[in-house]
Amino acid sequence: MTPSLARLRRSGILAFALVAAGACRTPPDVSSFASATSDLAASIKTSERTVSAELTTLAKAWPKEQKELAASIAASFQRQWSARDALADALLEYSASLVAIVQAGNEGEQSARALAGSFQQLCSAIDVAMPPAGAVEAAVNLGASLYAKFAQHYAATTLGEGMREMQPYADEASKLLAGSLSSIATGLDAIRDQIRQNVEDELVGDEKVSSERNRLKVLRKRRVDLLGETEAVRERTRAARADLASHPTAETEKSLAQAGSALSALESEVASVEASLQTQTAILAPYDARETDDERRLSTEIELVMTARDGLATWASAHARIATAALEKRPLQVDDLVQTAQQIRELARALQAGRKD
Amino acid sequence: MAKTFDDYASDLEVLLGGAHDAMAARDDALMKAAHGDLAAFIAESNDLVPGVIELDDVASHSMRDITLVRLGKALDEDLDATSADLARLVKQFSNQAAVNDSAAAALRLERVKAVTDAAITAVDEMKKLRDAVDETTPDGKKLVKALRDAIDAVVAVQKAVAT
Repeated sequence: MTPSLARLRRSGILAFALVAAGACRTPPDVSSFASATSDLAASIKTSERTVSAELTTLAKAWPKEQKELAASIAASFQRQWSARDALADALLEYSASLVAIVQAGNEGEQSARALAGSFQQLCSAIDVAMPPAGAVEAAVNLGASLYAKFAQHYAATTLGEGMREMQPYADEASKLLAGSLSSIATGLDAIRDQIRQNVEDELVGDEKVSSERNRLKVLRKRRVDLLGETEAVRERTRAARADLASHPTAETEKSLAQAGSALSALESEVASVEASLQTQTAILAPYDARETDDERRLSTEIELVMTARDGLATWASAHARIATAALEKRPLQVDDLVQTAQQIRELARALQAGRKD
Repeated sequence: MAKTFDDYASDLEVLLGGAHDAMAARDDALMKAAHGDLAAFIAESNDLVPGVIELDDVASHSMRDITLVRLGKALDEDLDATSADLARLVKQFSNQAAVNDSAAAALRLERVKAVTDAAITAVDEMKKLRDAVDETTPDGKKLVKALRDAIDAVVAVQKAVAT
């Protein structure tokens, strides 16, 4: 080996070795964590919009005083929630910074490999006249490998130590936001309970929907009573007919005629009540449909909020596991968090689809 | 026996008392139950009895009051109770994000430094080698050209990493 090549090899190794550390530690993949954080943050922000929209709809037809009170609650809520949105943004920023560390560590390896590639080109060139160049290539590759390990080790250590220090705050943020989402769920439950009554208070002509429903209820009861009476009269008719057959007298004939007449009158009234029932059911059908839609929409909204709320505990737990995995060089499993994020996305999609309908 | 107006009025009075107590206690479960009881009253009362529709209106008004208290408690009072901690947490996470970003930047800088150091050394060595080669021979010419190409390749990688 020529003195120049020897110097080249030594300096190449030295340059990499200066930045290389002994231990190898790969930073865990935090992209799933960042993605789940993004979904959770989005659902925190969506929750505010959902509640605000529902509050506006809820109080639209209320008496002035109650409507103003509802508007005042909506304004306070928006003010309170903006601080939660700010925390969601801070969590997003924080999770992005975790990804940045891991990426910087992994890009260190890519850069080292790229430089090693260029050295390989150099070695190929030198090899034209100087066979020992292969040794230089091997040395440079070793240097690249050491640098890659350093970058990953540094990233993993920084990540693990930083996250471990932040764990109490992650737990606190998770608990606080979960509590806030519980409050939202309670608010949406109150809206769900009330919105049905709002529909019942609407007017159909001069009558409230609840009065029309009351009428339907009376008609249904009347129908049941009439059917019972009809069956009794039918039985009486059968008995009168049998009585007439065995004792054909004017009296038994009169009894049969009376029973037949009563049966006819009852059947006629049943038919009339059936017709009224159909009319009444048709009147209430659009209100029933709205109540069902409202119930379904609010239930999905509550489910989404509760899923996000439960997801926050999983998020904090995943945060702790990533810190441990980074520090202890252990494989990382955050499947539960990924599953929660998936659930949130599906519920949000279902909610959007429901609103479009 | 069918209920009279007085029966309904008496029932409603009891329900309104329960609703008042629930609201005063600000207990969500009690308020929800009172709201449900009033809804059941409206649904079950016979509107054909004179005056019952007006009783329904009173019940309905009270239901909205209960809803407002439930909403005020959940969406204002309960949230307000924890708002003070939020600003501190926002600051904590933002600060840590800045620390993390600095660490990532330092790592990237270290990467650039490592690659730059290695590349500078390599280029210097190659230049020395190139200067030492006798260009008058065909092999020498070939080697010098190869070294120039290699130097360009290393410098290109160095620039790419540094950006």
